[in-house]
Amino acid sequence: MKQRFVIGSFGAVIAAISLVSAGIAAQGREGGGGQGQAAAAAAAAVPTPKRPNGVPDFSGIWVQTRPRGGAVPAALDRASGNYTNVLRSRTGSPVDFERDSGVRQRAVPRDAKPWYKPQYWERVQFNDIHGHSLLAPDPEFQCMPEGVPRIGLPQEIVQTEKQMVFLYPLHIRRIYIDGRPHPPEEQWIGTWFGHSVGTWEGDTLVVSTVDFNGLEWLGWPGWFTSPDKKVTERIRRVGNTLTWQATVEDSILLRPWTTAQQTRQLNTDPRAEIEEPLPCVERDLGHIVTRERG
Amino acid sequence: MRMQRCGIAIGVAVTLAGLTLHAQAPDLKRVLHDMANSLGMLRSVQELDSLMTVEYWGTGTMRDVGPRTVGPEVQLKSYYAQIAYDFPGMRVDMTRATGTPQREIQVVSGTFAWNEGDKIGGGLDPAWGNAVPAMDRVSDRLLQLWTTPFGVVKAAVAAGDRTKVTVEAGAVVVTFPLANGTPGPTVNMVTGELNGTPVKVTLNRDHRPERVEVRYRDRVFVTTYSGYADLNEADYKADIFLPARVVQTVDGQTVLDLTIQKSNTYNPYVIMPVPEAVQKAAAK
Repeated sequence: MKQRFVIGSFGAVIAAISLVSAGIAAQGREGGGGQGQAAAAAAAAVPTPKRPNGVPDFSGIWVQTRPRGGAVPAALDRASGNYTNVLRSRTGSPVDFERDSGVRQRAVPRDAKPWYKPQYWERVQFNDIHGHSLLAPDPEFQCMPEGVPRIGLPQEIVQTEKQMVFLYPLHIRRIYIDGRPHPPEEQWIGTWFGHSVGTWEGDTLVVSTVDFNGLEWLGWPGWFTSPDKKVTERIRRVGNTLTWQATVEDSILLRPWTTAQQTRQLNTDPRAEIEEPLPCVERDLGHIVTRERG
Repeated sequence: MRMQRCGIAIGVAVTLAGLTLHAQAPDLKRVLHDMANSLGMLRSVQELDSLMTVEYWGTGTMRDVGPRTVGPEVQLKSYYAQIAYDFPGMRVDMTRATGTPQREIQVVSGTFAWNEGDKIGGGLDPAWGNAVPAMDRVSDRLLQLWTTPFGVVKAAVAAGDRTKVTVEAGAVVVTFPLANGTPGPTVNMVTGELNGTPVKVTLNRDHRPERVEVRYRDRVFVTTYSGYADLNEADYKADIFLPARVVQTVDGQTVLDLTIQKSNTYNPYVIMPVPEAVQKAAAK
């Protein structure tokens, strides 16, 4: 959300940043494909550290990895190395950026979408079309917590015998791994991140989460949820690589929905630090004049 | 004066040379790119085909197309279509001014076809309408899907080196057989007798499909598209272009004359899961 403030107020700055990022990305695509795969392989080859009770130790700072070596952007001049587009759109204009991103973010193959029961299709469409308005705002756009599983893997994990603490830039999630059950349903209070308990299946942590408030969305294109939602996450550490995937069951869905897999690599720098994030402050809703969003 | 004449002569020669080149061999890859790009399908700096689903609303007239004949013309009070090119699937919800059934919701999804009761999505949930199998309509409905403007681009790409480009009477013409393409984010799926059906697409000056001709079951289906525009609502434009007018004939007789008033081309949430009853009926 702070990024939105930056885009809204300092377009030139963000354009410049995009140019630099694009250049970096372009360099990565040019020669980094093998490096990225090699780094991932090296991270996975390290022995998985275990805690005294024999379970894998997830503690550490986990950084996002992106596959490199994909298609070379059309705007990259291979000969000169120049990258002419400052925004990731057809023409580099901010208008096209919004429209391109709006189309691209919704280009989700059929089987990767949650299948809602038909009585909820209109609501998904309404949410999607009005996601950046007060009619059906995406909770994330309003600086609300993303909820589970939308928030995905954390930046940092602190593990004790009793719990895993997932630290996100603006949120904390606790997963109890001491064998306790979920509270009985009559005691549920309905929260953004729910109540999470984890058990081990070999080296995989299986996290069950219930007791949601039903306000969180599964994803950007209007994928809402109900308080009936139950999430099962499977998190596995192999060497210095952490993989995560979640399955959602909800009474408003025709069938369980499984997220895409996420992968993180351990930051092995013993002096690594995480900077304090800027607070999320919603400043855009009152200034948005179209329903286009990207 | 002599220089001026010389200049004109050179200009004419260059123009003629250009026309000759254009008439001889338009580059297939360039033509397919221009088709997709002119419809607004290509997005991001990588120019990826990013169009997976669309929906549009219209009114007009239609005739039911039987195996050998066509029915009487009826007014359409409403016509609402959803298309998912990635699987593929298509749902048409139309309400006739006269005749029965007045409202009909026709669906095709992959190798299944059915009609939904009085509700979109009927038959998927016990509390939500019903579905009646219509398996004999799979090919007809898939044909409608693949002959839409976006459909012919995707189908032409999927046909690979069987797609040809020529020039006829100054217009670029793309021909290809409907074929099963390589599975991927967008799957070109045709079934049974539809496989191999020849399609001929004539482009307008903006590289957009203007006329699509298909010879299928010994009949000639011709669909003409005109009035291309971004038909999304004014505050929801996407730079994706649909024809405002669609006219389809079968053996020269008009069977659909549609005016599209509105669209949503932002890959809307459109799914066509196959109801269990339809799957069971198809398995018998």
